Amino acid sequence: MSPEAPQNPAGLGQGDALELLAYLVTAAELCTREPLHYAMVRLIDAAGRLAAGLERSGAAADLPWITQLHIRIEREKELLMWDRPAFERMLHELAALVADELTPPPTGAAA
Amino acid sequence: MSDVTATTSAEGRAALALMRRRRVRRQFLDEPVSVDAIRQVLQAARWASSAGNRRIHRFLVVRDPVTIARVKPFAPGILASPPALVILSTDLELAAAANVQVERDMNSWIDVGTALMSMMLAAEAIGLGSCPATSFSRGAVARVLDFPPTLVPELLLQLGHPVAKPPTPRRTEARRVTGPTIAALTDWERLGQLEPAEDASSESTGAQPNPSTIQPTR
Repeated sequence: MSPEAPQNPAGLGQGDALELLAYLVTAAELCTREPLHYAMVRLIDAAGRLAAGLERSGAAADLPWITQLHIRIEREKELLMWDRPAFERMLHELAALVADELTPPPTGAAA
Repeated sequence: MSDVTATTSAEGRAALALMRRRRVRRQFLDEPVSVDAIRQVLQAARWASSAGNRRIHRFLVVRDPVTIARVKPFAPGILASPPALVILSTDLELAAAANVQVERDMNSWIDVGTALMSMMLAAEAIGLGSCPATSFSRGAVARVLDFPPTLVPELLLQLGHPVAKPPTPRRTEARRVTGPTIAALTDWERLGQLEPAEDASSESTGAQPNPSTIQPTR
């Protein structure tokens, strides 16, 4: 973060952002030698860490789905070790959840 | 198939039961692990077999939460927050003194494995949970822990009081969870042959073909 960059009170705290940066770079390095399907858990774990950081900064205060996403990732990320179909089902459902939350309702739709 | 025979001693049965019930534990209570407990786990590593009794590995115990928090971003294999870490490392100076060619000699990694297994069993025996992690950046962790270039971190062992025992898989899920049986992974006397029915040679008992095996080349 550059010194002149404005602080965004609703954004990710610098500590959490740098920690996530370290995690992502390390996860990329591990992809050079680990089973390829581990990349799935690294990415979703990173998403969980991002969600946790947003919660800590207060940026998720009016976005309860962020907490919902975080809780589910923490609860189910280990499924990859012993129930891959369930793990992949979680990924599909979380992708749908995020898409639902970030997609504005169609124009003219009822509130 | 029973894991124990009628002649297995009580001590032997206890050891086998310990091996059977041990599970990787990734979630820990927010409670410190005592020095005594860690010492017992480390002692088990000292008892583990070591190729040629070379002992080229060192152990760094970390209980400081700040240090663990600094390691964690560079160790994606740590999924939660362990109260203690033991970093198993290869000491290249010890290896050189023992004439070990670390990059070519897989015994140095096997020795990490034997130490690890003994440590995890010892942890289980004293009520601790454990989880090994090799998913970490060796270079980054070495820097965070201020290692000299002659000390190479090989494995992180997470230790702590476990949150709860993982649910026992239902029988219908057991195959998927636990993988193939040892019988399916093992051949007797030669490739392609199952274990004999009795404690006798395969020739005398007419051992059956093993359908799961790798077939012999000729």
